[in-house]
Amino acid sequence: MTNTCNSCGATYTPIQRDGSRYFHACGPIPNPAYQPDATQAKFDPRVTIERPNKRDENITGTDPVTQQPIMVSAGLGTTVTTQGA
Amino acid sequence: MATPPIAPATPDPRNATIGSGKRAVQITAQQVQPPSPLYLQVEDNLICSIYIPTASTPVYVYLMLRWLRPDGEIVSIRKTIPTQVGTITNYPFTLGEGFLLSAAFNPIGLSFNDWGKIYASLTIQRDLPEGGSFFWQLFGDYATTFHYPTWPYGRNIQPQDAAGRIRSITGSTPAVGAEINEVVPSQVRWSLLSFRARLTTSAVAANRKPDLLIDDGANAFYQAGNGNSLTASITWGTTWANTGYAGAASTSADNTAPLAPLLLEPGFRIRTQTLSIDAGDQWQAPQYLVQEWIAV
Repeated sequence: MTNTCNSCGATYTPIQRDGSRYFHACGPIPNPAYQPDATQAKFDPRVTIERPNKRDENITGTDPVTQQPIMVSAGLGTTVTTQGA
Repeated sequence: MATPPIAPATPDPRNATIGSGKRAVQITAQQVQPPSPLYLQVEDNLICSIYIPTASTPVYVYLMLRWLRPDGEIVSIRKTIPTQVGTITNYPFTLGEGFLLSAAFNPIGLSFNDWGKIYASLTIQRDLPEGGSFFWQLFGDYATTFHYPTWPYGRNIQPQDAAGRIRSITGSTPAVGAEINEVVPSQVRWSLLSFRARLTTSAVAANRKPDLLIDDGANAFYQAGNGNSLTASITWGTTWANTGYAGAASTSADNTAPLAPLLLEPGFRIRTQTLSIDAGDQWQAPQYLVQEWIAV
């Protein structure tokens, strides 16, 4: 199965080949207020900021009522793009 | 015709009796004292804690106990414990008054042949007004279908004290024009051994220079590339590994870049940062090798 993150557009397989779970997290995005300096050859001076509606599937704890794990941030959710084992 | 003589029977060496002298020690057969130092009362709780941070679904485990009751009867007990995904499962219970003879933790019906996926501990806590008062930790160890944390004679280690589990992980394919971003999951510690990713550049002319950047979730503490420039309309891979060497591989469109041996805590990020990346450039899903410990 392949998921597409509705927040950042990344695609990923939620279950790895070894049966372990993969926890997707959206990466930061370029800060529109600070564009890269193309004149510098070696170091990219880009400054990043966190994506609005960022998704982070890592677990922060357990819901005291439902006892279900709570992820850091659901963001805009995911779309299943490929079904399968 | 004469019958051939039968050869005399030779003693079977596998079942030979070993001679020994008369015993000096006499064994008591009545009013035997408990052979266990672990006397528990009704106010004592046993707490089985289970950590499976990367399991994909909830699983059940067994805790097998042998318990000597005050009336002298030994009973075998099996506790079936449901676990939570991605968080700690604490399972408290009491057995009443008696002596604990043994305890063994069994992961069941699981593909736990890969060592290092599940860690379990068993502790004793008295029913006190203040919480967190532990009297004894009986075992703490990783479990597989071939290795059971046990008391007595088992190990009592912290998760980070073990050899670590080797994992090859397929990361996320970012959207077009975006950078790779991988995050160390909750409750694990990684040592990043190698990281390989391929970049397909658009037709826009520019010299892309990909770096691997590692931060603590906010502040970068490592950044390395190999100085190669990737021009338009090519697919080129880069492998970051602990080589101390940067250069091109001989048989493929790949090159190498140095990677320091780093221990990464939960929430640390492994990212690419590509100088002059174009909106039409496409990073493919990275593949990386880590040594993983459960971190609790």
